Amino acid sequence: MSRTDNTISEEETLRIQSRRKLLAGFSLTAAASLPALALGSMPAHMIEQRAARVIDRSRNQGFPDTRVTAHTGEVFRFYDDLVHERVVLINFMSIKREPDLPITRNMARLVKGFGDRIGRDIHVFSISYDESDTPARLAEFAESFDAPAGWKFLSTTPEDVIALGYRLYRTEGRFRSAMHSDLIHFGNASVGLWGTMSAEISDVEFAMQRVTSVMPRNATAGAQLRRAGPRRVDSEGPVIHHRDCVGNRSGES
Amino acid sequence: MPKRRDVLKLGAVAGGLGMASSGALARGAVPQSGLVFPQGFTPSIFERPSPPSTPFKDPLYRMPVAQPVSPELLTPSPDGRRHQRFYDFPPAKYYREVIAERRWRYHSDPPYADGSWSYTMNGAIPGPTYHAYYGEPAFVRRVNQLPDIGQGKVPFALPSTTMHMHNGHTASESDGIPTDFMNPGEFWDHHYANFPAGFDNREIMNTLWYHDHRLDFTAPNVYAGLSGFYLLFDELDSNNENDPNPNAFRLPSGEYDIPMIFHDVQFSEDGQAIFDFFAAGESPSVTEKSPTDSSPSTIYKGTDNITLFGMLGDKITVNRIIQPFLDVEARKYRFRLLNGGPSRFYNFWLRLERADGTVVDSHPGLKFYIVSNDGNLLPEPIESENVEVWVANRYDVIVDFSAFAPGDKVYLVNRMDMRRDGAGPTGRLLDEGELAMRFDVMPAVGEDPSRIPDFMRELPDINMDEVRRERTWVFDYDNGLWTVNGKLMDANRIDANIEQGSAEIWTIRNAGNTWAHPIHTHFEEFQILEVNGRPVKDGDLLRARKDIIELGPNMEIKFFGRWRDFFGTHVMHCHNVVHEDHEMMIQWRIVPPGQGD
Repeated sequence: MSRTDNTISEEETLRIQSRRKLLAGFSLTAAASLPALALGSMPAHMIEQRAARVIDRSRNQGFPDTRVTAHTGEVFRFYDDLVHERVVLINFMSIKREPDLPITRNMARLVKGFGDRIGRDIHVFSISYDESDTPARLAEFAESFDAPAGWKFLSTTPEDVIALGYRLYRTEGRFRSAMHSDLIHFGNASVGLWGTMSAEISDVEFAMQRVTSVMPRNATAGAQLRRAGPRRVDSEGPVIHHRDCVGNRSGES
Repeated sequence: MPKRRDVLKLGAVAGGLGMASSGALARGAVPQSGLVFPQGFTPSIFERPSPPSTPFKDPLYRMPVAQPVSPELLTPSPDGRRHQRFYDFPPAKYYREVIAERRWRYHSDPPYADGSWSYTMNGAIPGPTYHAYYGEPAFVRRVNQLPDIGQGKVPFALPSTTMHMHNGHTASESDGIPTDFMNPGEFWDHHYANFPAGFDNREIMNTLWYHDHRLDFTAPNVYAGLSGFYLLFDELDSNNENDPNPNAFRLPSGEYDIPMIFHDVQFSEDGQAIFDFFAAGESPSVTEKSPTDSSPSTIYKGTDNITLFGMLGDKITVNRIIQPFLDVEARKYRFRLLNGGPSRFYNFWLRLERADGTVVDSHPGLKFYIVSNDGNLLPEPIESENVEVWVANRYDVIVDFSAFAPGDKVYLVNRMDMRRDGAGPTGRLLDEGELAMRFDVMPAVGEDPSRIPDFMRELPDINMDEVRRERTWVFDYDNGLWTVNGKLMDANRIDANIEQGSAEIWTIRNAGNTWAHPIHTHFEEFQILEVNGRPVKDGDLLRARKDIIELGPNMEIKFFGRWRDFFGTHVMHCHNVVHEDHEMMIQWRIVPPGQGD
């Protein structure tokens, strides 16, 4: 097999990961600055080249096809194995910051709303940006949210987390400081349609509708036109829209 | 009061820079919705320009006037119980507009000649021009016949749409707010009551437009085609330059009243519109971390070319034709200039080329008589050599070609220098600029009965006693996304509850010192009181009824607004639609008196 950008990246990742394992055995203080140690061993120009390689704009819709480890212990290539041809939800999280930034809690409401469609029609990936979130800790965390099999908590090297974040807006070297400016990304990779929504979800049904808006509806050709809205002025409904019969297709008047 | 002969210069700055453009390796197109794309990449128009096209080869497209249909043809029947005040304003005319994917020919040269897949309205883009009249409520049924997700030929747009009537005094359920979308196979009914806000004739509006406003997907959907004009006439602006009514303005009408919508578009090698923020560009750079910093996020540093800021096309289209020409008679014309976006601003000037090829930049005929701001007729016309048109701005201008000889060619020149990333102007005025279109002067056929009136519509009174409260909205940027008061758009959050019948003063502030935002609030026009603490004076182009704030870097604007006649939810947002889709939007709601916040 010839060495491609991807395989080079993977080799590097494996080297970095093995070094981290070694270092992690030494001391807790080392663990706090693992990214610095891991990257300190790489000259800046190599990191730069790597960044350029990892975010290959000519394929995979620009998503880095990095090696990631799920909370189950399984190892995947992020794009080829997890995103390619799928409808996905993606967020960034850390166990430590969950009490202040309850992104996972909100994602869990969305996941619950979709029920058994998760893992079948929709796949969910929560990417930890905290190097102390090991697969084992993430497994425990996932269990506390009753995460179904289609919801995977991913960890990877700090530089690959950044590469993923780079693709998904988390770019300028600081984490968003408050919940109201964090995001859940949704997309249909098979057609290249991507959207975002605030991770503050106050109406799960409406949030679900935003996600399914990038999914085929498989409407029957020639079917009768259906009234989307507005609903009757005297009918009960949310103040934020006037759609008729949200979330189902039986709105024909 | 200034006379209309006073020339107003709009932000003209000496000096200029040519458009930079570099040839580089072409890459395969990656379909993009524009919703998730990284920072740090060079906008692709600089890396992969559109195929060449012969300038001024194709005529300007003149949109047909929308034709009413019999309400019996609408199945199921229109239902008045779904609209506020439907029975106060029973529709006089019914329309049906079908939104579907079709090919549209932006230019007759290959590869454009085969047509570019677009989201069309009744088979064309821009959509039909509605001619509506005050006192004649209209009803428009819009039908979504776009193909399902994954089945369409426009890879970047979402086949789900909501059509907003921009600056219509329209009830929430007919306004086309972002959350009121319809999916393929669905329809939505819009009731346009066509009465002036507060029944005050000084609130009469004239040039409106409709465009997609789909939550999360407005930029790609408008770019794909979904925009058109909605013109309102009344007994003064009566669509008749021969009007015997002595009070009528008799602005150029009919063939001589021409709506023009500007969209900048980028095309692929095979002539398809592309909405693509990915291109070979500079790689993100890397900075060394501080040894004490354990955050992984300081390692990468973006380049200057941040593409999230906007989407610039390299082909300027007028009514969706690339660099068209228009045969004009040596007489007055009313051009309704509208910037349809997504992100480019224009600064239009006129340039003359004599039949012998001499180019003239200074000539008494090379000027605009600006008669409206944001589609609302001014108290008096303002004469200007240029007109600056931000996204969603509408300026009706009169150009008098009788100053020119048959055989002369007059160019509409865009001299606005935009930041490469699309987030706003650089502040420089291009020397040469880009030629957006050409007017070929022909002999006049008969007399020109049209007029440039000395006086038009007075402004409504500003009564501070009506002001119930003030609010401040700060437009900023936070780690890759655009915020209002530090928050992202949340469709489930109402940011202001405004009491019906009250007035408020809003302060709109740009916390950024480099980017610019055309801020639009729905439903009613406002009047700007102050710009950076200074009052707007009589005769200023900003002394007008407006629905767009041209919010430049570090700027602060205070306006007076009223909210009347209907209840319900509307939005305010940045009309650089890339910013809008990236969460620079709030929702406000009109509530009964006593229930406001």
